[in-house]
Amino acid sequence: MTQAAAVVARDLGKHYAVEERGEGVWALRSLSFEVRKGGALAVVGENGSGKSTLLDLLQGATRPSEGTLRVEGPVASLLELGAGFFTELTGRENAVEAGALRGLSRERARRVAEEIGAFVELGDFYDRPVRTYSAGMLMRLGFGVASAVAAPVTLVDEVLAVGDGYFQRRCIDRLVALRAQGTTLVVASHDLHALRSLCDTALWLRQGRVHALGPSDEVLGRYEEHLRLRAAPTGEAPGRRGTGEVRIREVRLTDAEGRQRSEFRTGEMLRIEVLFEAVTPVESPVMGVALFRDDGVYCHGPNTSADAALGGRYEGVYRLTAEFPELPLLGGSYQASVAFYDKDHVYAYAWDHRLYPFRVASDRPDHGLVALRHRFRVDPIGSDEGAA
Amino acid sequence: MAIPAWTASVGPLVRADLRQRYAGSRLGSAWALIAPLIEVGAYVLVFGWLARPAGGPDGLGFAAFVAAGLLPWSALREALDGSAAALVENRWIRRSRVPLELLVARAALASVARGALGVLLVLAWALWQGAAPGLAGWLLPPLALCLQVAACYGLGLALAPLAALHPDLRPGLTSSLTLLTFASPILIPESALPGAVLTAMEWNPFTHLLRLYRLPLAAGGVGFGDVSVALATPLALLAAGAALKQRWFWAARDRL
Repeated sequence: MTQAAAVVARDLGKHYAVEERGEGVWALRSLSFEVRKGGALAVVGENGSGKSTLLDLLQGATRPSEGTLRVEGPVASLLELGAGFFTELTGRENAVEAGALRGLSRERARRVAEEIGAFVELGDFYDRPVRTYSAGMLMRLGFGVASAVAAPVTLVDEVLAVGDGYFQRRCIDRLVALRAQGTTLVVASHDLHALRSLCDTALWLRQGRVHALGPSDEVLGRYEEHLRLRAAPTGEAPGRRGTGEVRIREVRLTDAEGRQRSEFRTGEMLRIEVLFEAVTPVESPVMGVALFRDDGVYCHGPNTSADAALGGRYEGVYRLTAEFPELPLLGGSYQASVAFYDKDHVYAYAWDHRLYPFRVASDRPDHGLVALRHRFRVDPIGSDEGAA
Repeated sequence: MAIPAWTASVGPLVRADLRQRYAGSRLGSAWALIAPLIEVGAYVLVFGWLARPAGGPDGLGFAAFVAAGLLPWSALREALDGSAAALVENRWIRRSRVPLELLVARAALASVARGALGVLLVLAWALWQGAAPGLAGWLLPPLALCLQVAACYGLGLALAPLAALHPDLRPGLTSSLTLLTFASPILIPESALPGAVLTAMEWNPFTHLLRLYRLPLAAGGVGFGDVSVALATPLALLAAGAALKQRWFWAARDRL
């Protein structure tokens, strides 16, 4: 194991027997990677790509069929809703038993359970049997228990998606805090925004094998592109979401003269005006707009963080204007999104996703999505070389 | 050797199991007493009146005799059923770090209530009859119950993964235990059994435990052989169970 590595996998493989067919399946094969101590690895891939099997192996819940895997230090994990909870015990009792199972004294486990109660905000339900919990409540309790005591390595599977926006944000804050304390994170998720901000490296699994491994920006960008090409943009359906610190009051699509329009021409100005209210003070929010073709293809999504613009503290009502001076989109139907994220671009304060439709008409005979600036040239080469 | 951390969680889990078992019913935990007594009453009716074997005690004496055997036996069945279900009915264990030992120990210990009721009924009956059970009579029935729990835990460690690997095991186990109910001197006094049957029953470790349970009834003596088998069986099952669990557990976990 490299001196500074918390996780090292070498030619890792996991085979599951399928008795009915007298054969088996390789859920993972030839996997080699390292996670440095205090680092954070994002694990992405489509369903069935082997993400959960990898996390099971890291947790020690199952054993590799081939290769080696070394994980330095105890592991805390949140891999499946309700896993590790006894339904007849209350949330508090489960928290105490989980602490005891991790080797805490009962006195310490009770104190930690008190802290978990404050974090998960389940109110009276904390003292009710877990069998009465909703999926979201189970997720809260699960995350609270898994993250209550810092472990050298913490694993989180997709379960965070179950919680509401407010609690997701608290979970991500806690993961950021754990990382700051030196915990090594391995996070599997479809939330690419969160992964980009939390993780420095990413592993993209396809059919149980490493498809890409490297800096998270690069790998997640490639993965996102892959999803786009599959016309499955980011799995996010049109709609309004967010944690509520910012409220979007009105969105107008206008031309250069400020006239509201629903149809534009290729090459003219598209201006998106957003009237928003920072309900509570927010520091340097990431403000952005995005354009999608109506089949979900993501065309472009500039934001103030990428442009290093418009930082500072916001409180009250403002108008954000995004201008596309020479709209390059070719003819078709499109939708605009508007989003306000926290400064780390992890969770959305307000996000109106593909809620603002518009059409683009074009006189150009070009094919495709956008009109890119281009030129053609023909250079005479000579008859001999031309023939070759 | 350090005590595993999970052992501290067994008590709270068993308490919660017992609390949960009759939660919501009007009679609540009174069912823990009523249900076994009805079970004993049904067998007493059949074997003490309708099909009464020759020899053995009459009336309430026969009820005490049945309770002393049937309730610990029911506890054993409950423990083994629960152990066999420990993995297949808690599939979430696949993605958690909860040790299988905790689930099996919970199943073994949750059955103690029923067995303890049998022990208490027998001791109460002996006192009511004015019989002094003696030191052995006081100590051996509770010891038998402890040994039974240990044996169930050992056997349960092997049954839990095996039941996940072979789904036919659970119904097979239930049927076998039903058969053994009548292939052990639980309902019929040993004095009423033919010699050959009694010899065959000597191979059943529960026969020896039964003699320990029934010592306060003075329904036959307890020999060195009975105590030896009662002590050796749990030790052997604990060792075998731990070894077999190691052998089968990972394959069973992957099968969940």
